[in-house]
Amino acid sequence: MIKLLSLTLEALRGATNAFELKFESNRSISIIYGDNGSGKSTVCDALDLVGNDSLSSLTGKGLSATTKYWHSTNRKPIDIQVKLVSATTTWTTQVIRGKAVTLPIDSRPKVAILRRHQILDLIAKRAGERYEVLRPFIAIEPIDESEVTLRKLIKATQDQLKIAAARIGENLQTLEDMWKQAGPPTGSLVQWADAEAKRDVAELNQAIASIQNFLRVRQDLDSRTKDVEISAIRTESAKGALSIAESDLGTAVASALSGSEELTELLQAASHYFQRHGAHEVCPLCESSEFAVALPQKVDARLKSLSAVREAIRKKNEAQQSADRASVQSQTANRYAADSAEALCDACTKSWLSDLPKPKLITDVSENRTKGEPKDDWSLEELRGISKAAGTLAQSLDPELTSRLQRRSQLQTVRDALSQYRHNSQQKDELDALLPRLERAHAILMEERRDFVDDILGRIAKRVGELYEEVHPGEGLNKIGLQLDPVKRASLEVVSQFPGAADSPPGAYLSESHLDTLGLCIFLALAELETPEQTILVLDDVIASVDEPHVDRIIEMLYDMSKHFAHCILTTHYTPWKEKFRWGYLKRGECQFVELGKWTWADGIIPSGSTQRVERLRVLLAEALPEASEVCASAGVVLEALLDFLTLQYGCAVPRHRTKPTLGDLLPSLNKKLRAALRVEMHDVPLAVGAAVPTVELGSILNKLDKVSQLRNIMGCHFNELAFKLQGKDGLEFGRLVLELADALIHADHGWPGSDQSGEYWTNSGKSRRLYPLKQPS
Amino acid sequence: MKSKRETPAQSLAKRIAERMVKEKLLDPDRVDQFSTSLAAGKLKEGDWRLEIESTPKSTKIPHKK
Repeated sequence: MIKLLSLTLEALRGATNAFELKFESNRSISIIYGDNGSGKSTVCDALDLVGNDSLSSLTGKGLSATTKYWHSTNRKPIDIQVKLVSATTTWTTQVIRGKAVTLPIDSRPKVAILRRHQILDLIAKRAGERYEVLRPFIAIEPIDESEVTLRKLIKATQDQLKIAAARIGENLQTLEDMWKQAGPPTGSLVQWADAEAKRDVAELNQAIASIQNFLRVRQDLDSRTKDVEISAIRTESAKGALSIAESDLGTAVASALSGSEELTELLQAASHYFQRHGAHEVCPLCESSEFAVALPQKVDARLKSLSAVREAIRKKNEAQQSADRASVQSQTANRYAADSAEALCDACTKSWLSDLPKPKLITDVSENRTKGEPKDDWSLEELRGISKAAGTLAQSLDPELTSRLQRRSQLQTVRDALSQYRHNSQQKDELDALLPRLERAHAILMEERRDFVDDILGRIAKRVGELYEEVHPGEGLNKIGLQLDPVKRASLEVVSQFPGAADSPPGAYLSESHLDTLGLCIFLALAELETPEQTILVLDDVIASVDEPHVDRIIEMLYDMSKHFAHCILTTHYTPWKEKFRWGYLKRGECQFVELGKWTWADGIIPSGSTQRVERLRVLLAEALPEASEVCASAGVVLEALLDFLTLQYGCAVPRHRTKPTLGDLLPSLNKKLRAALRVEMHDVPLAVGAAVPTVELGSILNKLDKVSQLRNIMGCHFNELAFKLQGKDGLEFGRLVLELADALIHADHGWPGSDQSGEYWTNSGKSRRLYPLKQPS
Repeated sequence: MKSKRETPAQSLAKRIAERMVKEKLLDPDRVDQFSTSLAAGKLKEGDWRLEIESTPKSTKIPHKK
């Protein structure tokens, strides 16, 4: 429980100067009294700011942004400071960049605040707006967020289910098309598809591979055979060119000297020798020195003369090389062609499937070749023959390959369609199982939420009815109902039972005063709902329109309610409340009464003081030089109140039909028998063990008062020359007797002994006084 | 002041979780974790599906066509 010590506010609204409100210890309720404009609402604003970061006093006044009106007009927003001090924590609130910042934030108190203008909101506003008031007390928004995701999942599952069903339809359509293409065979579609999917395709694949291998080898053979043909032509051509070159060389040699060919070769060799070794003094061949000089030059000269022969020799050599290359290429082409032909024969003999067209032409060629001597070489004619045969076979294999490829593709399509059909069917089965479970979970969530909210509303309504009954007992209007609109969420209806008009809106039949009470009861029931012991309840001028007979009950109800809260602060400008306090009718033991003085711009909010009448009399008597006339005046008023109380309690015959009864009417009505019986036991005085309870006999005081009561009029009421002849001490004695009687009857904290619940005596709220007798003696 | 009492959302989440367990829509061992997430508004679509699929489907609920 929070124990508040003080609230300080500065630069906030009416607090043009710092104002401190000290909370009295052991008082759970603080009543702040003041005329309109004295600053009561500013005090509430301060608490609103600490607890809620807002000033609800400004809402609903057509101000779009209220923050700029938070500070006092002579101060700046940064000057705003609110300090709430409890026994354990001090919370400080400042306004920084237009936002209230309270520190420490994590432990700040809850402040439930109700203002006059909000009361009717609870009753008269539209249902949706009423729900907004109620929403924080239901506070199940996170559940709603989780429900949204569940609803999305249900929708997504429904969509997936539709997609799965559509895909299954597509898969079945594909299978049906294939099934129709196939016959349709006997048995069900799925059985047929299953059988097709399980069909062994190894033989089919082998046949396709055989055909494709044959076609590949055949294509290779065609190419190789062409290579052989080309290389044969090239070889023949090279041979022809060589023959021509040899002929040309012969002609050149014949036209030159006999042996010129050999000579040319010899001279070339000699020239080559001289180029490498230089000239010698002797001929390197005959070792004669006769012609040794300039021998290399002579050799070169001779060679020049034999150039035609040399050219013929070069051309012949080139032709020879071409012929040799052509021969090698021809041999290579023949070898490759032979390999292809052998591969073709192998393809047609080894692993040739029986259901394929027989490759008889090819196997015949192969068999013919193997008759007699085995041959490695394939003649061009043989190659052309087998290639032609392969071409004929390839033509017959083409449709075979096409049909087998189509068959394999069909089987693959069936397998794929069946696989997807099964996958989609499984997915649909899973979704079919999941969806109702999700829908059931959603139904549970909605049912539980509805029951939960109904339960909360029921409890609130019941409590509202109880509180309302305390204020308006026996009026039969306590059957309050709070109902959520079943169609529109977040819409709250308030209904009441009226004779002949069940479940009617209260606004239709209740007076404004009754509606105020009902609104207050709803707010109190809501505020009480969650952790009231941690909540500061603030009621800002909420009983203004309540009529007099019900105010006392409301005050009593608020006193009782305040016990449930950490602290209760009430502001009021209701004058009777102040007077009840001054006469001790309020239970001072439970409440602190603070009166605010007249607000001024210069001084801001200022405390005033309402002193209880009895206390004021005590103060006057305690002065060093008490003024008798003032004492008599004060004591007279108190005595009238005391006698009024006693005569009413005991039903004494007092003329009350004219004006207020005077002391002359009241005192004699307390007769001798009653005076003899009147006594007050003081149960708040500490006693020694076995000691008797102190008792004040009221009769003796009243008898003494009989003798001096006229002093009230003579000294305390009017200008009277008779007073000149009286001693002041007599007036003071009158005051002391009244104070003695008041102290006997009234306890400062527990008030007047107005309760007869004991059945034996009258007592006050704290049972600290017992007034005997209970009834006037007969 | 911070409250240690159960919030309305937590109370409701617990009621929902217990009811789901009763109707075999939630694993009893998952009640605490599930209701905490539910009360915090943190249950995503995948979480709902996982929780409901993780329970034995002993009770078949007919799908409303």
